[in-house]
Amino acid sequence: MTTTTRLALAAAAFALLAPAAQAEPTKYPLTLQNCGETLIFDKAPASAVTVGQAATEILYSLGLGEKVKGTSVWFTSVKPEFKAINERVERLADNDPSFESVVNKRPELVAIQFLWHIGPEGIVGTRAQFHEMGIPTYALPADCVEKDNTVGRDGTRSALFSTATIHQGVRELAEIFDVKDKGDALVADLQKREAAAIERAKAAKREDTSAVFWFSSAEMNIDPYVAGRKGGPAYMMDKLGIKNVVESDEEWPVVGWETIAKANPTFIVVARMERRRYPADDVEMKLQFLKNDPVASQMDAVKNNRIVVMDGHAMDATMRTIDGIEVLAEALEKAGSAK
Amino acid sequence: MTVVAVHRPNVYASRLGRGALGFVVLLAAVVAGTCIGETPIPLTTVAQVLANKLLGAGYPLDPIDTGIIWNYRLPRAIVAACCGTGLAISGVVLQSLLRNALADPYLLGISAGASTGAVTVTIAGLGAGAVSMSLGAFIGALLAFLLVAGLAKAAGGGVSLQGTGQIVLAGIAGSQLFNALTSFIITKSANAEQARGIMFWLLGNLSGARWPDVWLAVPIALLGLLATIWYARALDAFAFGADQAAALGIPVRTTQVVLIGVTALVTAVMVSIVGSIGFVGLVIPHAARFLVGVRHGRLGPATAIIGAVFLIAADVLSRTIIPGQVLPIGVITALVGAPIFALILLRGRRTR
Amino acid sequence: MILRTKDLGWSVRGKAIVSGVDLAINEGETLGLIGPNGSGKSTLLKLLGGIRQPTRGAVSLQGRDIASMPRRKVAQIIAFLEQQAETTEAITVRDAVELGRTPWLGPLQPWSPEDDRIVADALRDTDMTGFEKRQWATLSGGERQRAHLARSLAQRPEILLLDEPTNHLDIQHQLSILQLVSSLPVTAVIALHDLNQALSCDRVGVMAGGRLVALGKPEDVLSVERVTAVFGVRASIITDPADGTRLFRFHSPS
Repeated sequence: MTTTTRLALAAAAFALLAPAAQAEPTKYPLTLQNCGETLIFDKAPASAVTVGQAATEILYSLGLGEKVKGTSVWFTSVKPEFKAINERVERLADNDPSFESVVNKRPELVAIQFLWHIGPEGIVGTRAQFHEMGIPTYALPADCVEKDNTVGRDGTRSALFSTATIHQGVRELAEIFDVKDKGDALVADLQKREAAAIERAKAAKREDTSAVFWFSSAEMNIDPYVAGRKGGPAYMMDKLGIKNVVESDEEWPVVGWETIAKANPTFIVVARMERRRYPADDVEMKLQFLKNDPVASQMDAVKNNRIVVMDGHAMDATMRTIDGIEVLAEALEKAGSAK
Repeated sequence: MTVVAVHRPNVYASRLGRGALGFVVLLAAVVAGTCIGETPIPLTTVAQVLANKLLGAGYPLDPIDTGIIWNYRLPRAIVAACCGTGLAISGVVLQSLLRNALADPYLLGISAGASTGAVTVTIAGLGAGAVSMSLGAFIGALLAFLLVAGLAKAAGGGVSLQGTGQIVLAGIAGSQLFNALTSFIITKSANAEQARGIMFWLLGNLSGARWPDVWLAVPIALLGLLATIWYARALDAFAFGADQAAALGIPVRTTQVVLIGVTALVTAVMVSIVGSIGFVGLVIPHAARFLVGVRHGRLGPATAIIGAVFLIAADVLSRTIIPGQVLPIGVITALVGAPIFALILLRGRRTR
Repeated sequence: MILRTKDLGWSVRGKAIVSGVDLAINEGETLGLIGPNGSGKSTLLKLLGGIRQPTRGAVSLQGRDIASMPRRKVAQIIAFLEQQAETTEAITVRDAVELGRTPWLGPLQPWSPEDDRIVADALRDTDMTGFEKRQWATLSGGERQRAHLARSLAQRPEILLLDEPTNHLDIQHQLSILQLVSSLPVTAVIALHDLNQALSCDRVGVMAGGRLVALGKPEDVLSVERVTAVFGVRASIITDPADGTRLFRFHSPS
């Protein structure tokens, strides 16, 4: 742990001290193994279409906004720093784009967040369909490394998610577009922030800290969707030494309030999102439920006001997972000082 | 006349006896549903909670345990019983009235309409938060039913045997239409779809049942049961078709309108509370016929009790079969219901 | 005049199935209705029983418009037995016959020993005693027909409307059923296929093309000429040397 931290810090410091290009330029043709497909690039793609907000935001972070010809599958507002560039890019669809709307942009790369959009059973299309038309597709490793998307509603991971897969996605996209410097700098920054958050949490940590991540519920009183023990939230808890009270390998299993209340976690992390499919999507409704439900209101976390509000998109395996780790570390600090 | 006078109290006594037996079985099922849950809570705790709440005993108890027993499990078991009764009774009424062994409460487009109503409120955002998903489902169910009934009437449905065929066909057409609307709304939804349990609620889920739901479900289930008992002889008379029912003094049109209306109301309310739980309305009436015969005087109450007990049992299974996780109850009813149905079919054939 | 119609008509989608029927049925008589397939006999019976609402004219039962009477009241007076009433329910003969008591029992009123007695009588009169526990699906066509008749009798009606009750019956049961009906103190209107059976009715009505073309005593109505005109067959009448009964004998038209 400490070694990693030091390395990360060193890398971050290095990146900050020497922002000028130190990494070698990408050598084309570039061959890449990506989620079961072999990709070969003769040159850096001149244009891209993104299917999934996480992929969109990585490309923006790498300064490739000008190359993005279309975006789709939005979960929440774009990060404030990308608002200006995003307004210049066409939004093909809020949700799933149609196959033709993607192809019609003649992109030289399609960057994918979730394989259930473009993948073996993709609702937009299979990757082979794009490859036949000479359009390479790149899927973020966070959705395929050690993950079986055929099991469970949102797939099931065989091993705990790690931000390493996010770093891998950033690095590989940077390599494809020949902006390795920017990729390395971005990864270093993410690692630095993560390490710092872990340090803060360690200082504030108490024994037997546990938590549940409540994403949403199909109806206000109904069993909620909570984070399983292999996804993004599980990683956050693992890194910060918090026990997840949910015992399921699915990404977002449905677990009864009875089980959650009996487990009585130290923290309840609730998702804030712009989606308004269910009443419980609204974070205010979640907080109200916790205060008013005859059982939930009796939980220690509610009584002692240890409810943490976190961006819902941070709970997915994205760059925003780091934001989540920071939010959680801060909550631990606050709870520690309150005590 | 004296003979009759002597005879009657016996009849009422035996009816009362059967009724009491049914009530005891039902009560036992509700208690079982309250004792068994996702997490182990000792039986003594359950008994103490019930004693505290019902008899005012002052046992000191963990508020979480009390809440789970009194505010989660008990209302959930009662709502499950009511839904089981309501759906099963609707099934028996429709099967007899339409003389179709495959009729079930969702035949009238109610389930499809409820789905459309639910997604209209939740996904398309109609009602802007003022309308709950349940209310949306209820409105959708009634609209779909009115459309189906209107279509059947326009197509010449009514007293005749062909008329009952029309309402079945109209129901199929209506269901298809509303299912298509649901898909349309989901596809056009305004926010990104995370595949996260799109239809979880629609597959049926009792976990949201609380006391306010009980106060809605109980009267509606009782309404269905009383209508079935009141119309038991009329339903018997439909055995040889609507014309013979009319010849036996049944006001066919009125009976059809009242019973189909009550069925639609009961189903729509139940669907709006718990989503559309399949197989109960289809299988339970057949199971009840297998046990008590085809006469509705017994069949109605027997169906009600079996339906209630079955759904409580299915709900308990759905909570306990995978520890720490809850399955949609519709999965359980189908998994258990389909083999039972097959068994009844096979045994029924042998006795013929 | 227990049952009477005035300019009675019923049409579906503009096509008249029954039209212009003026018929007065006397208390206690047995009226035979004959006519070829599709002549409107069954529909006329349904109109007489109030099962169908006439599109023209009206039916009066004991002087009251049948359409204005509660169904249950009508069913206490009229029993209507249609052709081919079938069921897929697993009911027993006893269940089926008990249905005949429906008009006499309120929704929550319990079954009485009197009802038991009436059902037993009906079973005995139709020679179905001992069949009580038999499943409907196991009955032969004739047995079903007799069980239906038992159900109608269990209604204790004043008027019996029977649509071809002797179909499916063997000759012995054909004769005994008709004899039973004529011996009951009821008014009966019977649609019949067999013209020789019609000859034993008090009066005979002849249906053709939805109209009542003749009505009267069998010997007046059932002439060789009319049978030829209505049924399209050649007929001759012969007399049974045993008892002097007249009998029809039929030949192909050409």
